[in-house]
Amino acid sequence: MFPYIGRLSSLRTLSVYIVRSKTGHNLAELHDLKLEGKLSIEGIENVSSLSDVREANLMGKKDLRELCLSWSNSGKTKTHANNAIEVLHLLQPHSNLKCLRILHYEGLYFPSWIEIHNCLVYLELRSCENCVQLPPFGKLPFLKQLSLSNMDKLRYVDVDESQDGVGVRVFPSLEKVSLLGLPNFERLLKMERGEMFPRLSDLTICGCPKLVLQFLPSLKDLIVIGCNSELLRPISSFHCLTTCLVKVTK
Amino acid sequence: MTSFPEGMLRNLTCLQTLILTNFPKLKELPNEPLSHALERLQISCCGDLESLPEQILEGLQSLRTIEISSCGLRSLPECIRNLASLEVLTICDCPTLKERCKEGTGEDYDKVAHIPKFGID
Repeated sequence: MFPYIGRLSSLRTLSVYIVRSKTGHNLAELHDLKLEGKLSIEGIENVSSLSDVREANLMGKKDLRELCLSWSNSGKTKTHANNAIEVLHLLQPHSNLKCLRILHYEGLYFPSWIEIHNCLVYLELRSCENCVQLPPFGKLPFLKQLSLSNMDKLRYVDVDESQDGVGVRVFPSLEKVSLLGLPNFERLLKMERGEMFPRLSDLTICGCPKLVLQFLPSLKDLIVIGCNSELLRPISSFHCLTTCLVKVTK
Repeated sequence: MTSFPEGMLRNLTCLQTLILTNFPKLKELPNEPLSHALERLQISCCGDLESLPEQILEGLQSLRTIEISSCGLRSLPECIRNLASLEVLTICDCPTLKERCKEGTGEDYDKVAHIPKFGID
Protein backbone atom coordinates (compact mmCIF):
# COMPACT_ATOMS: atom_id res chain seq x y z
CA MET A 1 0.00 0.00 0.00
CA PHE A 2 1.27 3.49 -0.83
CA PRO A 3 2.03 6.02 1.95
CA TYR A 4 0.14 9.19 2.95
CA ILE A 5 -3.29 7.94 1.94
CA GLY A 6 -4.75 10.76 4.05
CA ARG A 7 -3.92 13.18 1.23
CA LEU A 8 -6.67 11.61 -0.90
CA SER A 9 -9.15 13.84 0.82
CA SER A 10 -12.12 12.85 -1.36
CA LEU A 11 -11.66 9.13 -0.77
CA ARG A 12 -14.92 7.59 0.43
CA THR A 13 -14.26 3.86 0.16
CA LEU A 14 -11.18 2.17 1.55
CA SER A 15 -11.84 -1.50 2.08
CA VAL A 16 -8.45 -2.33 3.64
CA TYR A 17 -5.90 -0.16 5.42
CA ILE A 18 -2.67 -1.79 6.56
CA VAL A 19 -0.82 -0.08 9.40
CA ARG A 20 2.97 -0.11 9.15
CA SER A 21 5.60 1.41 11.37
CA LYS A 22 7.04 3.39 8.40
CA THR A 23 6.25 7.07 7.88
CA GLY A 24 3.00 7.70 6.04
CA HIS A 25 1.47 4.37 7.01
CA ASN A 26 0.19 5.16 10.50
CA LEU A 27 -3.40 5.39 11.69
CA ALA A 28 -3.34 9.21 11.77
CA GLU A 29 -3.56 9.07 7.95
CA LEU A 30 -7.25 8.17 8.35
CA HIS A 31 -8.04 11.31 10.35
CA ASP A 32 -9.69 13.45 7.66
CA LEU A 33 -11.04 10.70 5.40
CA LYS A 34 -14.83 10.62 5.36
CA LEU A 35 -15.01 6.89 4.78
CA GLU A 36 -18.25 5.04 4.25
CA GLY A 37 -19.34 1.39 3.90
CA LYS A 38 -16.71 -1.16 4.89
CA LEU A 39 -13.27 -0.64 6.37
CA SER A 40 -10.79 -3.27 7.51
CA ILE A 41 -7.77 -2.04 9.46
CA GLU A 42 -4.98 -4.61 9.57
CA GLY A 43 -1.58 -4.69 11.25
CA ILE A 44 -2.71 -2.77 14.31
CA GLU A 45 0.21 -4.28 16.25
CA ASN A 46 2.41 -1.88 14.25
CA VAL A 47 1.02 1.31 15.79
CA SER A 48 3.88 3.32 17.20
CA SER A 49 2.03 5.76 19.41
CA LEU A 50 -1.34 6.05 21.08
CA SER A 51 -1.74 9.56 19.76
CA ASP A 52 -1.68 8.16 16.20
CA VAL A 53 -4.48 5.81 17.20
CA ARG A 54 -6.54 8.65 18.59
CA GLU A 55 -5.95 10.55 15.34
CA ALA A 56 -7.56 7.74 13.34
CA ASN A 57 -10.81 9.45 14.29
CA LEU A 58 -13.09 6.45 13.77
CA MET A 59 -15.64 8.19 15.93
CA GLY A 60 -15.98 10.87 13.26
CA LYS A 61 -16.77 8.42 10.46
CA LYS A 62 -20.51 8.33 10.79
CA ASP A 63 -21.09 6.62 7.43
CA LEU A 64 -19.00 3.53 8.21
CA ARG A 65 -21.24 0.51 8.53
CA GLU A 66 -18.77 -2.39 8.79
CA LEU A 67 -15.45 -2.31 10.59
CA CYS A 68 -12.82 -5.01 11.01
CA LEU A 69 -9.96 -4.39 13.44
CA SER A 70 -7.16 -6.90 13.01
CA TRP A 71 -3.91 -7.44 14.81
CA SER A 72 -1.28 -9.70 13.27
CA ASN A 73 -1.65 -13.43 13.66
CA SER A 74 2.09 -14.04 13.40
CA GLY A 75 2.21 -15.05 17.06
CA LYS A 76 5.09 -12.63 17.66
CA THR A 77 4.02 -10.20 20.32
CA LYS A 78 5.47 -6.80 19.64
CA THR A 79 6.19 -4.26 22.36
CA HIS A 80 3.02 -2.33 21.73
CA ALA A 81 0.76 -5.35 21.85
CA ASN A 82 0.72 -4.90 25.62
CA ASN A 83 -1.18 -1.74 24.96
CA ALA A 84 -3.83 -3.64 23.01
CA ILE A 85 -6.66 -2.63 25.33
CA GLU A 86 -5.67 1.04 25.25
CA VAL A 87 -5.41 0.91 21.47
CA LEU A 88 -8.82 -0.71 21.11
CA HIS A 89 -10.25 1.78 23.57
CA LEU A 90 -9.13 4.62 21.26
CA LEU A 91 -10.49 2.90 18.15
CA GLN A 92 -14.07 3.47 19.23
CA PRO A 93 -16.17 3.82 16.07
CA HIS A 94 -19.21 6.02 15.53
CA SER A 95 -22.37 4.61 17.03
CA ASN A 96 -23.90 4.19 13.55
CA LEU A 97 -21.68 1.14 12.97
CA LYS A 98 -23.66 -2.06 12.35
CA CYS A 99 -21.00 -4.79 11.93
CA LEU A 100 -17.86 -5.15 14.00
CA ARG A 101 -15.16 -7.78 13.71
CA ILE A 102 -12.13 -7.96 15.99
CA LEU A 103 -9.36 -10.39 15.07
CA HIS A 104 -6.25 -11.52 16.96
CA TYR A 105 -6.73 -8.93 19.68
CA GLU A 106 -4.42 -9.72 22.60
CA GLY A 107 -6.11 -7.87 25.44
CA LEU A 108 -7.65 -9.68 28.41
CA TYR A 109 -10.81 -7.56 28.31
CA PHE A 110 -12.69 -5.39 25.85
CA PRO A 111 -13.13 -1.67 26.31
CA SER A 112 -16.50 -0.53 27.58
CA TRP A 113 -17.56 1.19 24.34
CA ILE A 114 -18.49 -2.16 22.84
CA GLU A 115 -21.26 -2.80 25.35
CA ILE A 116 -22.92 0.56 24.79
CA HIS A 117 -22.75 0.26 21.01
CA ASN A 118 -26.47 -0.14 20.72
CA CYS A 119 -26.74 -0.23 16.91
CA LEU A 120 -24.54 -3.33 16.49
CA VAL A 121 -26.24 -6.03 14.46
CA TYR A 122 -23.26 -8.31 13.78
CA LEU A 123 -20.34 -9.00 16.10
CA GLU A 124 -17.45 -11.35 15.47
CA LEU A 125 -14.52 -11.98 17.79
CA ARG A 126 -11.90 -14.29 16.40
CA SER A 127 -8.61 -15.54 17.88
CA CYS A 128 -8.69 -13.12 20.81
CA GLU A 129 -6.77 -15.74 22.73
CA ASN A 130 -6.06 -13.92 25.98
CA CYS A 131 -9.61 -12.81 26.44
CA VAL A 132 -11.14 -14.20 29.63
CA GLN A 133 -14.42 -12.36 29.70
CA LEU A 134 -16.70 -10.53 27.29
CA PRO A 135 -18.62 -7.35 28.04
CA PRO A 136 -22.37 -7.79 28.77
CA PHE A 137 -23.35 -8.19 25.12
CA GLY A 138 -26.68 -9.59 26.26
CA LYS A 139 -27.92 -6.02 26.60
CA LEU A 140 -27.28 -5.04 22.96
CA PRO A 141 -30.83 -4.51 21.74
CA PHE A 142 -30.34 -5.11 18.00
CA LEU A 143 -27.56 -7.71 17.93
CA LYS A 144 -28.68 -10.42 15.48
CA GLN A 145 -25.49 -12.40 14.86
CA LEU A 146 -22.67 -13.34 17.19
CA SER A 147 -19.62 -15.33 16.17
CA LEU A 148 -16.91 -16.36 18.63
CA SER A 149 -13.96 -18.46 17.51
CA ASN A 150 -10.56 -19.63 18.72
CA MET A 151 -10.68 -18.16 22.20
CA ASP A 152 -9.01 -20.58 24.58
CA LYS A 153 -9.90 -18.94 27.88
CA LEU A 154 -13.49 -17.98 27.33
CA ARG A 155 -16.03 -19.77 29.57
CA TYR A 156 -19.28 -17.86 28.99
CA VAL A 157 -20.74 -15.47 26.43
CA ASP A 158 -22.31 -13.37 29.11
CA VAL A 159 -21.34 -13.14 32.76
CA ASP A 160 -23.64 -10.28 33.65
CA GLU A 161 -25.13 -10.84 37.07
CA SER A 162 -26.39 -7.33 37.63
CA GLN A 163 -29.80 -7.78 36.04
CA ASP A 164 -32.28 -10.15 37.45
CA GLY A 165 -35.99 -10.70 37.70
CA VAL A 166 -39.05 -10.59 35.53
CA GLY A 167 -38.99 -8.44 32.41
CA VAL A 168 -35.25 -8.82 31.76
CA ARG A 169 -34.48 -9.87 28.19
CA VAL A 170 -31.06 -11.29 27.44
CA PHE A 171 -29.89 -11.11 23.82
CA PRO A 172 -33.37 -9.94 22.80
CA SER A 173 -32.71 -9.85 19.02
CA LEU A 174 -30.05 -12.53 18.62
CA GLU A 175 -30.91 -14.95 15.80
CA LYS A 176 -27.67 -16.66 14.88
CA VAL A 177 -24.71 -17.81 16.99
CA SER A 178 -21.49 -19.61 16.01
CA LEU A 179 -19.19 -21.01 18.66
CA LEU A 180 -16.05 -22.46 17.10
CA GLY A 181 -12.89 -23.70 18.80
CA LEU A 182 -13.63 -22.67 22.38
CA PRO A 183 -11.98 -25.46 24.42
CA ASN A 184 -12.98 -24.10 27.85
CA PHE A 185 -16.39 -22.74 26.99
CA GLU A 186 -19.00 -23.97 29.50
CA ARG A 187 -22.29 -22.16 29.03
CA LEU A 188 -23.87 -19.35 27.08
CA LEU A 189 -24.94 -17.46 30.18
CA LYS A 190 -23.22 -17.72 33.51
CA MET A 191 -26.48 -16.88 35.22
CA GLU A 192 -29.84 -17.79 33.68
CA ARG A 193 -32.33 -14.99 34.10
CA GLY A 194 -35.44 -13.44 32.61
CA GLU A 195 -36.23 -14.15 28.98
CA MET A 196 -33.10 -15.59 27.36
CA PHE A 197 -32.38 -15.76 23.62
CA PRO A 198 -36.06 -15.35 22.67
CA ARG A 199 -35.23 -15.25 18.92
CA LEU A 200 -32.24 -17.55 18.63
CA SER A 201 -32.99 -19.84 15.70
CA ASP A 202 -29.61 -20.88 14.35
CA LEU A 203 -26.78 -22.32 16.44
CA THR A 204 -23.49 -23.80 15.20
CA ILE A 205 -21.13 -25.44 17.66
CA CYS A 206 -17.75 -26.89 16.72
CA GLY A 207 -14.93 -27.80 19.07
CA CYS A 208 -16.52 -26.80 22.39
CA PRO A 209 -15.97 -30.01 24.43
CA LYS A 210 -17.08 -28.56 27.78
CA LEU A 211 -20.22 -26.82 26.57
CA VAL A 212 -23.53 -27.64 28.22
CA LEU A 213 -26.49 -26.22 26.34
CA GLN A 214 -29.24 -24.30 28.01
CA PHE A 215 -32.93 -24.28 27.17
CA LEU A 216 -33.27 -22.56 23.79
CA PRO A 217 -36.96 -22.74 22.97
CA SER A 218 -36.85 -20.98 19.58
CA LEU A 219 -33.95 -22.92 18.07
CA LYS A 220 -34.66 -24.15 14.52
CA ASP A 221 -31.30 -25.07 13.02
CA LEU A 222 -28.66 -26.80 15.09
CA ILE A 223 -25.25 -27.95 13.91
CA VAL A 224 -23.04 -29.71 16.42
CA ILE A 225 -19.60 -30.87 15.32
CA GLY A 226 -17.45 -32.67 17.84
CA CYS A 227 -20.06 -33.60 20.37
CA ASN A 228 -20.57 -35.74 23.45
CA SER A 229 -23.67 -37.09 25.20
CA GLU A 230 -23.79 -34.24 27.70
CA LEU A 231 -23.95 -31.69 24.93
CA LEU A 232 -26.69 -33.59 23.09
CA ARG A 233 -28.89 -34.28 26.10
CA PRO A 234 -30.90 -31.01 26.15
CA ILE A 235 -31.74 -31.30 22.46
CA SER A 236 -34.92 -33.14 23.33
CA SER A 237 -36.35 -29.91 24.78
CA PHE A 238 -35.80 -27.83 21.63
CA HIS A 239 -39.36 -28.15 20.38
CA CYS A 240 -38.99 -25.87 17.35
CA LEU A 241 -35.96 -27.65 15.87
CA THR A 242 -36.34 -28.25 12.14
CA THR A 243 -32.76 -29.12 11.17
CA CYS A 244 -30.28 -31.02 13.29
CA LEU A 245 -26.83 -32.04 12.12
CA VAL A 246 -24.61 -33.82 14.61
CA LYS A 247 -21.13 -35.05 13.91
CA VAL A 248 -18.42 -36.49 16.14
CA THR A 249 -15.42 -34.82 14.57
CA LYS A 250 -14.64 -32.24 11.94
CA MET B 1 -20.00 -42.44 21.58
CA THR B 2 -21.84 -45.73 21.19
CA SER B 3 -25.37 -44.40 21.63
CA PHE B 4 -27.30 -41.14 21.88
CA PRO B 5 -28.92 -39.93 25.09
CA GLU B 6 -32.29 -41.59 25.59
CA GLY B 7 -35.18 -39.47 24.42
CA MET B 8 -32.92 -37.08 22.55
CA LEU B 9 -35.10 -37.07 19.44
CA ARG B 10 -38.45 -37.90 21.01
CA ASN B 11 -39.98 -34.45 21.45
CA LEU B 12 -38.63 -32.76 18.35
CA THR B 13 -42.00 -32.54 16.68
CA CYS B 14 -40.95 -29.92 14.10
CA LEU B 15 -37.76 -31.64 12.96
CA GLN B 16 -37.57 -31.69 9.16
CA THR B 17 -33.95 -32.60 8.56
CA LEU B 18 -31.77 -34.92 10.61
CA ILE B 19 -28.15 -35.50 9.65
CA LEU B 20 -25.97 -37.81 11.68
CA THR B 21 -22.41 -37.96 10.44
CA ASN B 22 -19.19 -39.58 11.54
CA PHE B 23 -20.04 -41.51 14.66
CA PRO B 24 -17.72 -44.45 13.95
CA LYS B 25 -18.50 -46.23 17.24
CA LEU B 26 -22.23 -45.67 17.27
CA LYS B 27 -23.94 -49.05 17.76
CA GLU B 28 -27.60 -48.07 17.84
CA LEU B 29 -30.11 -45.30 17.38
CA PRO B 30 -32.84 -44.75 19.95
CA ASN B 31 -35.80 -47.04 19.25
CA GLU B 32 -38.38 -44.28 19.21
CA PRO B 33 -40.29 -42.68 16.35
CA LEU B 34 -38.78 -39.60 14.74
CA SER B 35 -40.73 -36.41 14.14
CA HIS B 36 -43.68 -36.84 11.79
CA ALA B 37 -42.51 -33.64 10.08
CA LEU B 38 -39.21 -35.26 9.05
CA GLU B 39 -38.50 -34.83 5.34
CA ARG B 40 -34.86 -35.77 5.07
CA LEU B 41 -32.75 -38.29 6.96
CA GLN B 42 -29.05 -38.66 6.31
CA ILE B 43 -26.82 -41.10 8.13
CA SER B 44 -23.19 -41.39 7.14
CA CYS B 45 -19.86 -42.71 8.40
CA CYS B 46 -21.30 -44.81 11.22
CA GLY B 47 -19.31 -47.99 10.58
CA ASP B 48 -20.52 -49.85 13.68
CA LEU B 49 -24.20 -49.10 13.12
CA GLU B 50 -25.55 -52.47 12.01
CA SER B 51 -29.30 -51.85 12.04
CA LEU B 52 -31.94 -49.15 12.13
CA PRO B 53 -34.62 -49.72 14.77
CA GLU B 54 -38.06 -50.53 13.36
CA GLN B 55 -39.78 -47.76 15.28
CA ILE B 56 -37.58 -44.97 14.02
CA LEU B 57 -39.24 -44.72 10.60
CA GLU B 58 -42.73 -45.64 11.69
CA GLY B 59 -45.46 -43.38 10.36
CA LEU B 60 -43.13 -40.85 8.78
CA GLN B 61 -45.55 -39.77 6.06
CA SER B 62 -43.55 -36.65 5.14
CA LEU B 63 -40.20 -38.38 4.70
CA ARG B 64 -39.04 -37.82 1.13
CA THR B 65 -35.32 -38.54 1.21
CA ILE B 66 -33.13 -41.08 2.97
CA GLU B 67 -29.39 -41.04 2.33
CA ILE B 68 -27.20 -43.72 3.86
CA SER B 69 -23.48 -43.86 3.29
CA SER B 70 -20.49 -45.66 4.78
CA CYS B 71 -22.50 -47.45 7.45
CA GLY B 72 -22.30 -51.03 8.65
CA LEU B 73 -26.04 -51.66 8.15
CA ARG B 74 -26.84 -55.34 7.52
CA SER B 75 -30.44 -54.84 6.44
CA LEU B 76 -33.14 -52.23 5.91
CA PRO B 77 -36.06 -52.00 8.35
CA GLU B 78 -39.36 -53.56 7.27
CA CYS B 79 -41.29 -50.33 7.73
CA ILE B 80 -39.49 -48.68 4.82
CA ARG B 81 -42.21 -50.31 2.67
CA ASN B 82 -44.84 -48.12 4.29
CA LEU B 83 -43.27 -44.72 3.71
CA ALA B 84 -45.76 -43.28 1.24
CA SER B 85 -43.86 -40.07 0.47
CA LEU B 86 -40.41 -41.58 0.12
CA GLU B 87 -39.07 -40.43 -3.24
CA VAL B 88 -35.33 -40.85 -2.89
CA LEU B 89 -33.24 -43.54 -1.28
CA THR B 90 -29.51 -43.50 -1.87
CA ILE B 91 -27.12 -46.03 -0.43
CA CYS B 92 -23.42 -45.56 -0.89
CA ASP B 93 -20.44 -47.51 0.41
CA CYS B 94 -22.47 -50.02 2.44
CA PRO B 95 -21.30 -53.39 1.02
CA THR B 96 -23.79 -55.63 2.85
CA LEU B 97 -26.76 -53.46 1.94
CA LYS B 98 -25.60 -53.30 -1.65
CA GLU B 99 -25.73 -57.06 -1.85
CA ARG B 100 -29.13 -57.27 -0.15
CA CYS B 101 -30.70 -54.62 -2.39
CA LYS B 102 -29.53 -56.12 -5.68
CA GLU B 103 -32.28 -55.99 -8.25
CA GLY B 104 -34.19 -59.28 -8.50
CA THR B 105 -32.01 -61.40 -6.24
CA GLY B 106 -31.37 -59.30 -3.11
CA GLU B 107 -33.35 -60.15 0.05
CA ASP B 108 -34.26 -56.50 0.66
CA TYR B 109 -35.00 -55.59 -2.95
CA ASP B 110 -38.75 -55.85 -2.55
CA LYS B 111 -38.59 -53.33 0.31
CA VAL B 112 -37.17 -50.65 -1.97
CA ALA B 113 -38.53 -51.55 -5.40
CA HIS B 114 -41.39 -49.04 -5.08
CA ILE B 115 -39.15 -46.01 -4.42
CA PRO B 116 -39.11 -43.73 -7.51
CA LYS B 117 -35.47 -42.71 -7.17
CA PHE B 118 -33.43 -45.51 -5.74
CA GLY B 119 -29.67 -45.41 -6.16
CA ILE B 120 -27.01 -47.70 -4.80
CA ASP B 121 -23.26 -47.52 -5.24
